[in-house]
Amino acid sequence: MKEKVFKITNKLGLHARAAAKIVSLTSKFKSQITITNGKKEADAKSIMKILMLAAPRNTELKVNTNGKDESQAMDAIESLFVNKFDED
Amino acid sequence: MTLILKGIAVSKGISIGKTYIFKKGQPSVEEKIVKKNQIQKERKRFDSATKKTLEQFEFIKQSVNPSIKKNAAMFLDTHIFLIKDKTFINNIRKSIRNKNYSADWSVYSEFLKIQKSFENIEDPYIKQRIEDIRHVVLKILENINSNEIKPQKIFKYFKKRIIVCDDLTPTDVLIMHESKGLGLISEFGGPSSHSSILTRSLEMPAIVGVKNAQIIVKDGDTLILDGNEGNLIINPDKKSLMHYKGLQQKNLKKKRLMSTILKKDNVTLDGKKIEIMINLELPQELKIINKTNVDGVGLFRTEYLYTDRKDLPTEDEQFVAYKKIMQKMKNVPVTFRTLDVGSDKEVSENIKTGSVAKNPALGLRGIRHSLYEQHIFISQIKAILRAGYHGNVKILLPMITNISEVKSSINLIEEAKRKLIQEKKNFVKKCDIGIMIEVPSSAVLAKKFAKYVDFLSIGTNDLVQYTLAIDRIDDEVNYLYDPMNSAVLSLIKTTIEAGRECNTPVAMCGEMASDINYIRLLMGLGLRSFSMHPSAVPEVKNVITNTDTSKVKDLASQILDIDDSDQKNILLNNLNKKVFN
Repeated sequence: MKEKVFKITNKLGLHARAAAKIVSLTSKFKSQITITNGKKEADAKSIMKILMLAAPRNTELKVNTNGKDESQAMDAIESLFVNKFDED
Repeated sequence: MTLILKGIAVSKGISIGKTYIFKKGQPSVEEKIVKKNQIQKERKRFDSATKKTLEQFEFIKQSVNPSIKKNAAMFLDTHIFLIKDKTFINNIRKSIRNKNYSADWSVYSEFLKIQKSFENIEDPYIKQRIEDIRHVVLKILENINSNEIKPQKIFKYFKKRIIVCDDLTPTDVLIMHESKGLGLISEFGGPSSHSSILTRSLEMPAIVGVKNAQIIVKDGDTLILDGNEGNLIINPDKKSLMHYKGLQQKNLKKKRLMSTILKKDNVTLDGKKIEIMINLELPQELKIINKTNVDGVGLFRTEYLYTDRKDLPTEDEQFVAYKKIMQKMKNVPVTFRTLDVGSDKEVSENIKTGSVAKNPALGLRGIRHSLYEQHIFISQIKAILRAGYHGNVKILLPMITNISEVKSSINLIEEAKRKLIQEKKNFVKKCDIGIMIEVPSSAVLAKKFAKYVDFLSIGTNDLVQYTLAIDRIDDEVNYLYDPMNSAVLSLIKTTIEAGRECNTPVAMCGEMASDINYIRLLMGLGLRSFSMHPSAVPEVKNVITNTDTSKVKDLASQILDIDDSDQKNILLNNLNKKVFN
C-alpha cells in the first residue's frame, strides 16, 4: 500500500472539473484508491464522493493506493496534483 | 393579437421564428412504495433510464463542435462520470431492492440525501456543484417517465424554432444549439446560471425568467425574441416584424464587416500607424482577444488580486498571475497599473488604511496609498519586474498629482530592483515607467512630467470628474459629466502636445478611447494610441482605418474653440460623417 499527502493549489479547489479529471485517471487503474480529507474518506473512482470531500484551495489531502499497480497509480495522481489539474 | 412579455435578457441577439414548446414533463417525486412483484420492473425502469441518459450525454458529446467541447461543454464529462458513479447507482438500486421504493422516489431521495450533505460544504464554488448533480438527476427522472426522446429525434424538433421551456439544463442548451434552434426562452433561471452563460458563449439569443411563457405562448406561434432588451413579442404585426427583420439584417452586416476589419492592420487611410491596445480587468478576458489584432495591453488593472479576500496577495502569487499574462501576450507590451485603491472602487479590509474618507475621490487613493503603504507597493513592483523577465512589461502609476510623487515612486522601484538582486531572482532590468494623466494638475504640467517618465496615459473618466468637479455616480449632477467640455479637451490636447515635444509617447485608456463618437476628434487632437475594452476593438478599429488624419485636424480644433454644446455636437457629427466618405 502506498500513501502520500498532497496540497491542492489550483484556485477553485477540488471542483467538478478537477474531480472529473481524477476519476478519469483513477478508473484506469485496478488498485483501490482513496482520498482522505480530515475525517472524510472518498473512493477516488466516485466523482460524487470526491465532490463531497469539499476540498478548497490549500487543503491537504491524503491519497492511498492499494493493489497491483499502486505505484503507477500514485505517480499518475501525483503529477495531476502537481500540475494543478491543468488549470490556472 | 400581439402580446409582449418581458424577461431577463441573458444572451444578445434577435431571433424571429416559430415556437416549439418544450415540455419536459415534471417528474413525480412523491414517496411511493411498490408491491414486491413490481420491484423487478422498477429496477428495469431505473436501469434503462440511466442507460438512456448516458447515451444521450455521449451522443451530445460526439455531436458538439470540438472547440465548444473544450471549453463550454467541459461539464459533459462531469455529467457522464456522475451517471457512471457506482456509489450513486448502487445506493439507488439498494433503495429499490431493500425498501421497495419506486424508481423515481429512489432516485429523488438519493438526490435529497446528497443535497443535504452538500449544504454543509463551506466553499461556495464546490457547494454550487449540487447543480450538476441536480441536472443529471432531472435527466434520469425525465427518462424514467418518458418513452420517447432519443436525442436524434429532439434535434429534429428544435431545428429553426424558438424553444420555450420551463427550465434549462446546460445539456438542453447544447442540444438546442447543435440542432440549429434559433433562440431560447425559459420560465425560470437567472443571468449567471451555467445554462445562461452557455447561451452567451454559443452566441444564441436567450431570455430567461419569462413567467408562464409555456402557458401564454402556443406551439407554432410566431415570435420575436429580442435578446438585447429582454422582450418577447408574440404574433407581431407587420410593422414590428419589418422593424426587427431590419435590425437583424443590420446586425448580420455589422458582424460580417467586423470580422474582415479585425484582419486589417491598424493603419489610417493616409498610412499612419495607430496603436490599438486593450484594457483588462480580469485575466479571463484574455480569452476574448485571441481573434483580434491588438498592439498590446494599454491598461492592466491589478485590483482583482486584492479584492474579496482577507489577506494580501504574496509577491509569488502576483508573479505567477502576471507571468501568465505575459506568456499569453507573447512579445507585445503589457502595461500594469499599480494598485489603484479608492474612489468608486470598494476598499476591502486588507488594503484599507486609516478611517473612511468623507470624500474618497480626493482621499488616500492611487499612488498616495502606495507611497503610504510602501510594502504593498514594493511587493507588487517586484512581481511585475519578475514577470517582465518573461515578456515586455511597463509600469503605470495612477493618480499622480505632483513631481515628487513620481520621484518617490521611481526610488521605490529602484529599491525593489535592489531587493530582487539580493534575492537572486530573475527580473527585467530596464522597464518603462509611465504615469496616468487623470488629474488637472498633471495635465497642465504634462511637459514637466514627460521629462521624468517614459510614457503618459490619459485616464478620461477621472480627468473629467476632477476637471468639472462632477461625481459621476451622483444622479443629481451626472448630467454635467461631459468629455466634450472644452476645458477637458484642452487638457487632453496639452498632454498630447507635451508628449510630442518631449518625445514621450501618449496613450489614452479612459472610456473616451472606447467610444466611437470621439475617436476622430481625438485623432484630430493628435492622439495616436488608444486603449479600450476588448469588446470595443472592432468598432473603434473600423473608425480608425477609415480616417484620414490630415482631414480631421481642423474640425477638431474648431470643436475645441466652440463653447456652445449644441454647436459642438453638430460639428462632431460632421467630423464623424464627412471623413467617412
